[in-house]
Amino acid sequence: MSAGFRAVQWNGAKLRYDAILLGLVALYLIGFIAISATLWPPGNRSAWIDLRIKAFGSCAFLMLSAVLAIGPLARLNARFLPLLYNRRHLGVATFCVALLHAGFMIEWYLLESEITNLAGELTSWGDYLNFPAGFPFKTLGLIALLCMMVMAATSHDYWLAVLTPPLWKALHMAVYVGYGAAALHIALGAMQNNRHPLIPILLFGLFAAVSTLHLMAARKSEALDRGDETAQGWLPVCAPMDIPDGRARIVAAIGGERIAVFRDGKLISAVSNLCAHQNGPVGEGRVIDGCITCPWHGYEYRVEDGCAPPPFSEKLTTYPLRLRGAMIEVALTPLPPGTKASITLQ
Amino acid sequence: MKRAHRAAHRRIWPLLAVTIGAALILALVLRPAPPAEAESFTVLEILE
Repeated sequence: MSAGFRAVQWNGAKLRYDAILLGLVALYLIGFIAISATLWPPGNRSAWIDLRIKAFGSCAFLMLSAVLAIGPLARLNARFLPLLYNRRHLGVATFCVALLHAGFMIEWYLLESEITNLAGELTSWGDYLNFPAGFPFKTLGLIALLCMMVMAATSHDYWLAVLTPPLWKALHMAVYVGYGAAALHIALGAMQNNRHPLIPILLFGLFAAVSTLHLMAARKSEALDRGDETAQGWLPVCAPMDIPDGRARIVAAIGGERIAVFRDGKLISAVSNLCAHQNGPVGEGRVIDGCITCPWHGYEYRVEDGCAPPPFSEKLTTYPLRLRGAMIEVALTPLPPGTKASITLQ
Repeated sequence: MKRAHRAAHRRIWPLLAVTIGAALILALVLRPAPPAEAESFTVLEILE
């Protein structure tokens, strides 16, 4: 986290993440080109460019599938949270690889002196009725690239602050349109022109895996989002000692946002489950040195009042608590962000 | 994520999985057959 503007917020963990990412991308590209060139030696410069188009295109789709799989994986199993920490760098890297794929395609058309044909292909409106062969599949690739460009251009925390987390999140859901367009781009392009069985196997396998993960994660969160229909005014949570020390119990009233009830030793507090940074699920995080730590990017808030420690200024909405019998209850009416509302057990 | 955002996810993904999945299957099933292997002899060779 940062108290001021920084172009790229690198730290040790992010540098390691990026180094591994770049290493894997280089390994894939070199491996793809080396194996393909050995099995089917390119005869001329055009064939070499074609090989690069395929290597970078398949790499970009693989990376985009990974970007989209990380979110649901982290929701289904906390072990995948470290992958989420630097997902934006992975997204920007994916756009760069996809851009190079498009660049090589333009290089191919320039070499063949057919650049005017490219424009003709994209504007042959009648061909858009041809399915599956003959469809101008490059348009779908262009749509996917534009979606990724918008994601990459607005990936910085500056845009997150300007647009606000809910709007930023909504904008970044355009990546799903991009993914659909990229899958169809391959199905109507490479899969029609090349009969190699690996193309449909990888395309269907990756798309099915990403879709299944998202559907599983959605199903998991559905039950909690229904909320407690009986709650009025105060929502019963659980006995204090039923909350693991340094962790939270997440509850929701019907139609309401989730509330995370944390226990840090004898201190109990209830805060909004939405991190002020990216609306991450703070309730799935831990208390470290007296601060609730968001599992997504490590933003910290004091347990007692939901305020980030100085010099940071982020605040979480808090909720009044009471102990009724052996049960903790949380009020459904939120307090202004940063209001101290914790209780201490005797 | 806000509740509305999670609800949007729950609506989008089944739709995306079905529509794109169906389009991918159709693209595979309907793809044209590969051109027949070129014969190793020509008409002239047959006449000879």
